[in-house]
Amino acid sequence: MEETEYITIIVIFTLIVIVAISGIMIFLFQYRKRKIIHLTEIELIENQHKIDLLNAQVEVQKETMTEIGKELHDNLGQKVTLASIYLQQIPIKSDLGSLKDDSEKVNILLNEILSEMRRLSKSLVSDTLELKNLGEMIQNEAKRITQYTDVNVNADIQCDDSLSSLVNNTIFRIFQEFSQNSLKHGKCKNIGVVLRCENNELHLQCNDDGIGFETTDMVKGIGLTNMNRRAIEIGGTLDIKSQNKKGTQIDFKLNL
Amino acid sequence: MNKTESMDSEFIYSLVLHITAVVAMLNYFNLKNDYYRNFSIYLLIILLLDRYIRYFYRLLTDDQQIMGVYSSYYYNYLVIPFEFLFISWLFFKKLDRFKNLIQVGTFIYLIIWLIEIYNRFGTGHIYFFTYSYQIGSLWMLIIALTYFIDIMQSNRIIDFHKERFFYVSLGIIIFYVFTLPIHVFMEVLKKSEDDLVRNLPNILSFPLNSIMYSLFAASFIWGKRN
Repeated sequence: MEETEYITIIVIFTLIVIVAISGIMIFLFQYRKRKIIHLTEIELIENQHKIDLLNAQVEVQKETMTEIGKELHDNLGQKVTLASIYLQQIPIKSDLGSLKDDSEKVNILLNEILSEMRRLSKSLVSDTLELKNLGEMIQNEAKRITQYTDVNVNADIQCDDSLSSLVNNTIFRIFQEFSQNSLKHGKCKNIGVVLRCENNELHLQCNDDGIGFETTDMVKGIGLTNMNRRAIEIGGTLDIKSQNKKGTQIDFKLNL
Repeated sequence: MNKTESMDSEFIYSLVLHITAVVAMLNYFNLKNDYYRNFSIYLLIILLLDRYIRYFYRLLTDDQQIMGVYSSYYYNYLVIPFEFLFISWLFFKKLDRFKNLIQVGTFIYLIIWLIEIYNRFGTGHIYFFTYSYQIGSLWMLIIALTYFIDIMQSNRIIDFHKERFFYVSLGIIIFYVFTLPIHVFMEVLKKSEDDLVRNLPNILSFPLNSIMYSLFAASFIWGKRN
């Protein structure tokens, strides 16, 4: 074998070894780079998740406080005012019969006030939002949309299960996001919402008869991402189906 | 390398091929609705073709020269094209982004193979289809590299050890990156006065095959379906 051929073979094998080593180094470099990016993404998602949970809890607390404020003003405040009026009248009246009536009325009012105050204080410490359940919240929202827009919302609620305020609020927000998306982008005439609690499973289904979108080309707008995130936060699953000109449907399921 | 060492090397290769085929077939039933189960069938066929069926032509003749002819036909027309075409198909199923490239590469290999058949037809000479084998080997390297390019550009690289095709591609690269240059310089090496250099193709062939098929078996054990 000639020397040049021998050298050529050596050079080629050396090049192969160099290329192989370079390939391994590039692979390891890319691996390390992607791993760092991936871990950073996970950290960001976890932090966002914590922020979302805190925000949800703050929202619930704000709503609870607002409801309590309203109850105090509208209900308790009026009863206390009424009791105060009856008491003011007592020194003026001299008739024993009407005095007895007034004191009984004041007694009844005070009992009602006490009972309301107990109920309110219980809702401050309890996890369950007794002021409104999920079905009522959805129905109120449905009525509001039907009243103030051209879209008709049909709510079919069959769920009496008592859920935590966090879960209530999160599911309600999912419905709200869906209805907002339908109103803003869907160009629909009708929205349907069905809520069922059967066989230890909660099932929320929302649909519209709007223009839909192609799920394969789905650009994850904020609304869709939020719905997904909320579903995952409380351990549920969310399935979104849509097709161009065929409307949109979401199915949320949660094990109770 | 003396005859005993060569036989040991071949024995180990044979053993590895059997184990790989068994592992592949044991996983066959777990791979329902998965195109990868065809790889199990492929490995079984390769075992049969390379270790058993090729000895059938010994039943047809005792003449070494004629056996050489049968062997060349067997490998030129059946075994090698089958290997190259199946691996191309497997990667075609896997690599969505490179489907066109794989189609073009496979087409080029087939054209060169057909040209080589046409050139050899009627010459009466026994030839190993050198050019189509070298093009096919290069093509295998390119396919395996495209897989690595694909995985490096995605987050799948983070769990690369769970990817079935990582082991398959690694096996292919290790085998062909050494055997291709040896094949190209085969005639040059044969002229060497050094025994080691002259026998390099034989020395490296079985160990490299063993490594490749071991990695194929590893793809069934450590690799996970995506």
